[in-house]
Amino acid sequence: MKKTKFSEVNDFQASENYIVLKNDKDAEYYSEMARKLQISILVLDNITISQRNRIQESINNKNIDLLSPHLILEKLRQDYYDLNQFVNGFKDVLTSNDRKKVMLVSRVTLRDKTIDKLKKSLSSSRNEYEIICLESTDLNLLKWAAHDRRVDYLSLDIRNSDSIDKALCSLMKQNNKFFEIVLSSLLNSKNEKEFGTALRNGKKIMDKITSNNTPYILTIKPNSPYQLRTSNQLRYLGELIGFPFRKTKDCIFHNQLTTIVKNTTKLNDSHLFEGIREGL
Amino acid sequence: MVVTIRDRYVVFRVNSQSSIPNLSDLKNKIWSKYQLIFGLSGTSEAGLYFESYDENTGLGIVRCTSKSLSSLMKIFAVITQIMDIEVIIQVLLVSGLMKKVKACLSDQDSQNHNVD
Repeated sequence: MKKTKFSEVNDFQASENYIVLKNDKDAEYYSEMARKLQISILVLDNITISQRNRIQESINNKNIDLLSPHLILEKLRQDYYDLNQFVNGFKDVLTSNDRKKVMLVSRVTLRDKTIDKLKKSLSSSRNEYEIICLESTDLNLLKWAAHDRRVDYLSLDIRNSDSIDKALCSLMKQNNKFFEIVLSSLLNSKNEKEFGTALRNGKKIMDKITSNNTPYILTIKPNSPYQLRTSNQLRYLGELIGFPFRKTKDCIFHNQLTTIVKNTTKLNDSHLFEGIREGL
Repeated sequence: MVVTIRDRYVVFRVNSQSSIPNLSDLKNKIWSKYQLIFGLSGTSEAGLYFESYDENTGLGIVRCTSKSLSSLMKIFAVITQIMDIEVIIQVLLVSGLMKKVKACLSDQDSQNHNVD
């Protein structure tokens, strides 16, 4: 019998890509809630790799097994060589039967207004964070960043549909980069007007992205642990602004994980350049 | 041609910050959000009916038509607060058979009992 989309409700592969911590204690609450909702990856904004490691050590909760991408890579590197194998290895570790595992990842969101400032920020933060993201409304800056290998995502708020055009979508597709669509406006809108604006502008963004087949990921940017959403809930929220449910399967876990694995491999000491590493 | 409308039963759990909201508050929130997003016509076609809801554990069953299932899921995803209490409505199972749904519910109940 053909499976319907509704039979996938209990899928436990999910990633929340944009968590802003108010203090270190928050990380424990988020991890606890992520375990309840079966979310396996939490990406912490504006937290360096060393800060992430410190937070990870400070959380002493028996119910959660906190992991970092570096630790998993160290375990897997003896057996695997190719990126796809690594991604599958990460998936196996994260989604094993005990469902206690949550991976913490560090990221930074750059908000520079000129190309020169962005270049400086990128050079200073490229070794400090696992994921680098750019948030801007300047189209020229975004087009420049779409070429840069250090930038992983371009973040888009669905309240503003002017920061994206066809040329940018095409550039993103050429360079294999992802748009990060932040859906939090659907949850945090104060009144019906704001909600309507978010829906309308979200649909405009969706039209531009899907007409060019540009890769994208969906995320929430929660204000509290109670705004975390499961994988399917994220896909339903995406469907609300027009992204077809069946086409968003990779946008909630696989694309994020591939980026994390690629960057962790790059940051590893033995990495020389893509496909080649030291000591083999 | 006769068209049969099939029902779907959704087992959900309300995870909340403090106390679990009561059934009437939960119903009001779901109906008002449904009307806001899909309008009166959409709400009437959804065929929503709350089969059961336990105010101690937050576990419940809601029935809807198979066509309106994705709309109901969207509503569950959009709800963040009920009576100023932060909540997540987590969907545990979707099925067309009441027997399966009840089995899932008793399974969840026993899990909660073990944790306590």
